[in-house]
Amino acid sequence: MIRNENAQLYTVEGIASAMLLVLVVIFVVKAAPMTPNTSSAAHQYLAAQLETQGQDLLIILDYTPEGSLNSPLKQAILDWRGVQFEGQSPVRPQSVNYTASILKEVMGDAGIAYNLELSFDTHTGVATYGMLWNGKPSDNAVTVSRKIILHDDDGVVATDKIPDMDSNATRFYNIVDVRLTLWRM
Amino acid sequence: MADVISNEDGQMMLLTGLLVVIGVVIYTALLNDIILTANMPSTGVDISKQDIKDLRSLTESDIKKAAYYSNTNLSMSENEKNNYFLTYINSYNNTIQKMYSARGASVDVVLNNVTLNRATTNITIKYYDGKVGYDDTFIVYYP
Repeated sequence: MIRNENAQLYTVEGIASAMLLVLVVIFVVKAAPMTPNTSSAAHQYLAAQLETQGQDLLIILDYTPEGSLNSPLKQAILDWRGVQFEGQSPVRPQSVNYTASILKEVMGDAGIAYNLELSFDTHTGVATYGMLWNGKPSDNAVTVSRKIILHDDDGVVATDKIPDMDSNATRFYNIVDVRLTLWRM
Repeated sequence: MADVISNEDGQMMLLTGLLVVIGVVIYTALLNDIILTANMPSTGVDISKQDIKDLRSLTESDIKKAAYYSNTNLSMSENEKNNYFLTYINSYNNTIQKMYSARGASVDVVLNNVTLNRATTNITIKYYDGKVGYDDTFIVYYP
């Protein structure tokens, strides 16, 4: 009875089977909940890619072509009337519509949702307003930003929203932080 | 034949083989994870870089703009031009400080030496976001 070692073998077999089962469960759990909106370490690469894409787009939008006074992005900020455009609603005026159509073409058509917000200093602190709004971002959203300096002679339309932080002492007006939030749908 | 069937030594060898295979699978999975993590581009680190780049280019371009506004106002005396320039940069500094502090970073633009008539300004920009600190002194030239 003492010399019979069959039970030891059965025990080791049992442990091996249990290990196999645990491995399968871990594999399934790790593989199953990978949706585009899942925030995980595996999506860091995609997030970095999205960040680069967004930053590049803001740089391109802020490029002033030869013969133009302002970049399309700066012109959109100057012409903006303080209204938030939601979803696919018609965007006015023309310069804001141009920015919206570029964003839709580059991001929206590639399955990437976006929000464009403007953040600037006011006499009561820093205020943030939505310009183009497509809903609440998911957990894996990334935000990129670009700062635009405004001057008195630029002609800001939404003076009730974006105040002159220099009280006409000089031609300095304000600094607008354009924040683009991107996430995969 | 009956003796072959009752000999169970082979079972132990098979089981050992199975355990070795499981070990190799676990080791491979771990190694794969380590390599993936080591080569993963980290998001967030670039935010400081971008912020510093923005601060430097914005400051440089707006100093040129301030100098342009000061120098093109012919009705002002040299002293008034200097005061205008300093007021402009002071407003710029106050606003940029608030914009960066809203994002958790502290910045400062210090004018070391302004010579409007010689078209140069020596400035120092400072940036600190709790992790990354940046301090740079440079000269801005303007026409």
